[in-house]
Amino acid sequence: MTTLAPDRQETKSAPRKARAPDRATGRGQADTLAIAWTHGQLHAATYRRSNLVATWESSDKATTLEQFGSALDVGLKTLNYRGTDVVLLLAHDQFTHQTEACPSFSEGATKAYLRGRIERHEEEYGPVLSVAQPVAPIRKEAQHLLHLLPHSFYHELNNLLLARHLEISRIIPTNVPLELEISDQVDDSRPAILLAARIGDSTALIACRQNGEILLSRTTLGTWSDDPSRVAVEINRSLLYAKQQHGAAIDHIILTGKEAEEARPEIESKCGEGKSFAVRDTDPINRLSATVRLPLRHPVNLVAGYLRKKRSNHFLRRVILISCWFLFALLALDTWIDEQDWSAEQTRMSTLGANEDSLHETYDRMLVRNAGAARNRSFVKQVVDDRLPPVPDRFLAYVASIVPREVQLSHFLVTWNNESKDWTFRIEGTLEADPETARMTIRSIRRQLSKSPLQVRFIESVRPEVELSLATEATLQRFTLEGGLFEF
Amino acid sequence: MSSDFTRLFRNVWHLLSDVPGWSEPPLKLRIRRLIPIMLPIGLILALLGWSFLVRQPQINRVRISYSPLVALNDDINQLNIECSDQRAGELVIEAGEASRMILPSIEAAPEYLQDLRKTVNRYGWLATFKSYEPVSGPTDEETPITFVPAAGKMIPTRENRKPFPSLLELLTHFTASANRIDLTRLAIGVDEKTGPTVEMNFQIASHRTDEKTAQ
Repeated sequence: MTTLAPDRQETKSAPRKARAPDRATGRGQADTLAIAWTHGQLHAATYRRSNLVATWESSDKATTLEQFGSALDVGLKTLNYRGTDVVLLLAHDQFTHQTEACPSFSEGATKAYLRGRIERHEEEYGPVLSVAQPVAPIRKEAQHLLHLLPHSFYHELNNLLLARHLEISRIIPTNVPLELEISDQVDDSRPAILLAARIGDSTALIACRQNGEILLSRTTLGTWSDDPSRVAVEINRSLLYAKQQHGAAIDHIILTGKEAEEARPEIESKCGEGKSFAVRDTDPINRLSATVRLPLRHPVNLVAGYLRKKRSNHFLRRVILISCWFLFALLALDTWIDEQDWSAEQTRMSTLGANEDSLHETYDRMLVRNAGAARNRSFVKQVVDDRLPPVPDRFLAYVASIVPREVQLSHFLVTWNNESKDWTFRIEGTLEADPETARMTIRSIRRQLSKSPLQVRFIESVRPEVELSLATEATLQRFTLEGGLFEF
Repeated sequence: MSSDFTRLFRNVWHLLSDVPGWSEPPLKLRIRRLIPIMLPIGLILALLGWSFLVRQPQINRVRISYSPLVALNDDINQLNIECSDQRAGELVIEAGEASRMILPSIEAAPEYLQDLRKTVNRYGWLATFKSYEPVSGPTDEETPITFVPAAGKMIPTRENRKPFPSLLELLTHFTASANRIDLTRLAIGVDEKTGPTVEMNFQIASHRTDEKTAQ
């Protein structure tokens, strides 16, 4: 029944061509192959933009990867699937699920606890792909359903698919579509429902509250076709668990899967009074359709994190690769520019070497020239710039312009002090006026000297005050003004 | 620490030699995947090694051998920056003009004062001038000029009816003269009987004529 193409038989442990599928084959990016591999049963369906295109069911039982691969080849041929994207709905002995009670005081603590649990599991059984799905808490203690898939199994499965140019984008445990199925049935009249679904050679039991919280999710070996009473016992145990742990009284039970109708009377009789039973004929393809519609980053997608990490690693490797070549190109360019510069420098140095004598002559000539220029500059500065300003005559002219007619100057002296580098002055004179008028006149002269544009300042070190000597009874007043010229 | 390093090395090894779709590829394949990364790294190391161990020492040797000439060239450029040929020429002209503003020697001072007396007389004043020996300061030896101190006493002539305006004109002529004369003291005394008396001290710039400057 399963016929393998010769080139596909060689790729058991490693993909023959480990790269993205050849687009020239015409495989569409919008196409998705959904595979339900559930405890030996294999169903597949192809979708184009989430719309069902074709379905296929394996007639042979596939429990091992080899059987899965052989059956898949047949399915691919039948479905004529030309895409690359694969969604896998998986229920397998290797794919384990365990409920863990976690500390709930913080999200970080919960994550750390779960990480610890996974690490412990990995120490014992080897590395796993894992995802934690929150379920209803028990007595305020957070509960998580850990889905664990061994790395080795995943890689074999992945390699098997890669060899067929297929890439897994989602691995979803069966409880996810079942949860979706049950959530449609919950309403106010039924606050909690239990769903028993036949999945291949086993029966999955899942109970949900009205708000979508999962109360329990477990799988039992055996089906109602083989032993309906055993399934009934498991249902009763699940009901009891839900009541004891979550206080949820479940009175509605849905049976779904092959031969559910036939097994219903017996199960109903074993589960006691007061329970309502319903049978739904849900095709595995319906579950596949529900699974295909799940987003790529669905929280219970087992490979979402792994693929994300793998893609980021690929991206990082590519960045490193490009960076290395870019760095090399930059370095080569820099070396080339350095060589060009060095070549120019060498030419310059050769020219200097050829003109060595001329350089020495030029240097000596310039030394002499600059020394002469420095001497000339100094000489010009001493003769022209360092010349004393014509302070005495200007000050004399200014004083003459501000002194009123009634004032007679008897002595005028302006002196340059070479040590302190400043000018001092002394003015003596007389005026005919009463003492008060004389005092005001002299004050006026002093004020004009102080505020003059010639920047006359009375320097304290010379004589702080203008002294006015007045003979109180006489009309001829004598005065003396003494100060300095701060700047001129 | 060692285990951390080992883990880091393993992670880097796995990252760089990762073969898509192959969890545990053989070493040969891993190495083949590593080549596109290791090749540029090897080329970079080779280029750096050649640059630092071979090329740079060669360049340094040549640079060292030419360094005196390069330094000489730099010095010439620096000298050119400090003073160009044009500026040196301008300074020669300016120095020539400045040289004409001062006496050629100290010995020429009496004659100059004699001429000055005549000039003063033209402004309506009678003057007597006397020069003294220049007093050398500690820095004077380095300067090419020296100053001859002089003192003068002036009284207006009988014909001078406006002594004060003529004095101002005279003083302006004094300080604005082509020759450098620094007026350092001006004393004017007015006596009702004798009229105004002007005393002044000044210094006349002169070329230095001692042995050092002569050299």
